[in-house]
Amino acid sequence: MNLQEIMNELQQTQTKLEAAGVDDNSKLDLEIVVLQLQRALQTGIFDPLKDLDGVTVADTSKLSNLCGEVDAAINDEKKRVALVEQIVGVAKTTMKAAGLAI
Amino acid sequence: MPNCTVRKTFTHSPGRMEVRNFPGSIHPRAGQILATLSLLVASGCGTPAAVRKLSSEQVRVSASFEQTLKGYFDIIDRLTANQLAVSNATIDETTKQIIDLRKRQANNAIKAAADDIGRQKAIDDLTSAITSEADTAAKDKAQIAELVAKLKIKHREMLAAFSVIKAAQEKLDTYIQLKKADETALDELLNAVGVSRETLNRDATDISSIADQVTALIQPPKGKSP
Repeated sequence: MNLQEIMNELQQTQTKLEAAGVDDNSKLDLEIVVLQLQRALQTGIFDPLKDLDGVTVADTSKLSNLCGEVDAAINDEKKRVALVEQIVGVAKTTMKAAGLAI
Repeated sequence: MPNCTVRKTFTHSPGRMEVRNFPGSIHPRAGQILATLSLLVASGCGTPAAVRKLSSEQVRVSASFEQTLKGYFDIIDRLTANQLAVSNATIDETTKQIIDLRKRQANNAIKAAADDIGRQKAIDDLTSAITSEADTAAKDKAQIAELVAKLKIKHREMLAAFSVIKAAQEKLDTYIQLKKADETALDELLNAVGVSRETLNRDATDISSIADQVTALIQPPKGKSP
């Protein structure tokens, strides 16, 4: 039986007690219990959020470090490209000087 | 060899390469060697265009998905904020009703009391009950607020993690899109023989296709022993 079903049960009991002419204090007690349960239901709505502690977010700390390494690789590649361009430039100049136009 | 300055260029036509000679350039033999070298190098170097396209698209989709996540979490945050307000109002209202009922009970007890001691006890009971109900309401509201805050924190954690994942993808994409040293060398080599990169890629694809067909021809049919 969930909280809502208990709530309905209590309200039905309250109606029966009123019909049976039960004394005022007992009816008030039951009415208070019904209200307390209504209040508890409001917090119960948020109960699933308690499971959030068990939901872990993927650890991305290594990614940041590895990005730094890729940065270094990018810089190395740029230097290699510059070197290749330099070598080709020298080769072209040399071949031109030797009379071999490319 | 007297006429040694003939440049050869290659133009693409389906299934074959056409060689044209131009006077005043390098030795034709050198041109052939360079072209052969270019094809050999092209088949094994450089980032394929398909990889570059996928990487770019992945970065674009990640950025779009990040916006989707932000929008979605924002909606959930607003929904829980509304629910929080409704729950707080309901808790306040039910607590007020409970206290009213307690007061009615206290009035009944005071009326029924035989002496001052009995009346004082009814008043003390009411004070204690009001304090207890107010405490319970405050605890309930604090518990809800704590859970909602936890949800918001989790959303922020998830977005932060996704942001790092996206940044890593972008970094990889930067490397993938980068013109590599071997590609630079190849481009220079191709310029020397007058062949564009696109033409070479198409020819390399043709060669690969021919190679596949030849392989299929020389392989025995399935189910038969060689």
